[in-house]
Amino acid sequence: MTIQINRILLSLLLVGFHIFAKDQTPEYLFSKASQKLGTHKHFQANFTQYRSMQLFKKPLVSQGTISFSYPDKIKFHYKKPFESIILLNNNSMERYRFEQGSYVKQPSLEIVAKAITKEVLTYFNGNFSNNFPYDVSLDTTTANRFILFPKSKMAQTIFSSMEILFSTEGDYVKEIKLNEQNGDYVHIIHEIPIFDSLPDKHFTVD
Amino acid sequence: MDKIIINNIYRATKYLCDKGNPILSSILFLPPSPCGRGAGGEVGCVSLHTIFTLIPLLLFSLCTAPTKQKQPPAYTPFNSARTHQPKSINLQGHCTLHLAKSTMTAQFMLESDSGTINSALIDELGVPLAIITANDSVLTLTKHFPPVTKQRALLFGHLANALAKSFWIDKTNNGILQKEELQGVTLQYYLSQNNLDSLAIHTRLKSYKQLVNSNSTTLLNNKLDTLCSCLWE
Repeated sequence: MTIQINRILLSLLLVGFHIFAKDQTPEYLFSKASQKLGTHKHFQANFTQYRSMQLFKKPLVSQGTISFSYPDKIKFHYKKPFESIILLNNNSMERYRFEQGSYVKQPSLEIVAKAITKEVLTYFNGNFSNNFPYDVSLDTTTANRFILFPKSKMAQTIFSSMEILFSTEGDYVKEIKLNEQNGDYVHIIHEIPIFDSLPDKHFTVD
Repeated sequence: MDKIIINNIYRATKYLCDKGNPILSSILFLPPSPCGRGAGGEVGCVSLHTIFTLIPLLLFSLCTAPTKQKQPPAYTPFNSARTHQPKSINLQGHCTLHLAKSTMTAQFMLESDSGTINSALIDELGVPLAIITANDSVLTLTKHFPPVTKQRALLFGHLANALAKSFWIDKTNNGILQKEELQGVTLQYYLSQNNLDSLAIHTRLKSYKQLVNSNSTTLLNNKLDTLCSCLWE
């Protein structure tokens, strides 16, 4: 009887330990945080983007709004330093520059569009979590800041790490910082988003 | 009055060029401009920006190895004496580049310190389309990314280099033409009323003209088509 109780206790402890350990892994915490974001079908937020390069003392600053509609509509509307729109719909990317009262189409690379679309659809199809291409660590000073290190050697040549800061409630991403190997980085800070429904027309330049 | 002075300088310069330097005489000489003008699902939502940034960066990194322009045969410009000193410059703004079949606009950065001039064209997503470094003897195209071709990137580099140097000119020499050379590319500055009025960029094959105002510059080819126009803050 004693042995059985001990076994049960041991099993519970092991199960408890297992749950505890799983809860504490950065990968698990990151996955939980990400799942919360996935509950929103629409997303719109103002952002400020800092592009810093070692060659230059001052970073480039641009501002705009990002919009997303499930499953594959994305719109970047840059307002500063000049107005432009980047539209991403399944397999296509279009750039427009606001010029003398109307939007003028700009060149964009089809290869980039296809690569981006493939990447985005991979996430939406749920494959991302099965083959997560990063090692994750949790910033010990800020509980909701994750640091992602790319596993792929090719990716490592482009950037050394990506920092993602979730809001306190975990319902949106406050900041993303992409650190390159040479110290250059792109840092994007989102304002509080809205999750209201966005009509298809929103994802055009009309 | 200024116009007469400039025209005289122009004639004198042309004479010197013709007499003193056979290479210069073969270069199309642009006359000065008139004087006196003044994530959705899960992690996808997290990385929306990142996805956009990473892929072009990846392609960008694979694109081009550093390119240096070939050293041209040495020759002495008629006025190689430098009458100005390098000065720290920090400009940001945006440029519209006229490409073969379209135009595109990108942000630009221009900084110079201790005689080195760094310039870059960056797209909205933060992807560098062109990075160029120039110093006294060499202009280096570190990288370029489509749709900015190598040729356009180098042209932008010369524009940025000339623009930076235009800030170094001793503007008290009102109306005096100054001249510099960088790897076979000759820069000629025309000043009026303490302002840089225009400058000409000559290669051995082509000539360009840059019009400069207080916060903008436009690069024209010898048919006066606009190749690139930049506005800074």
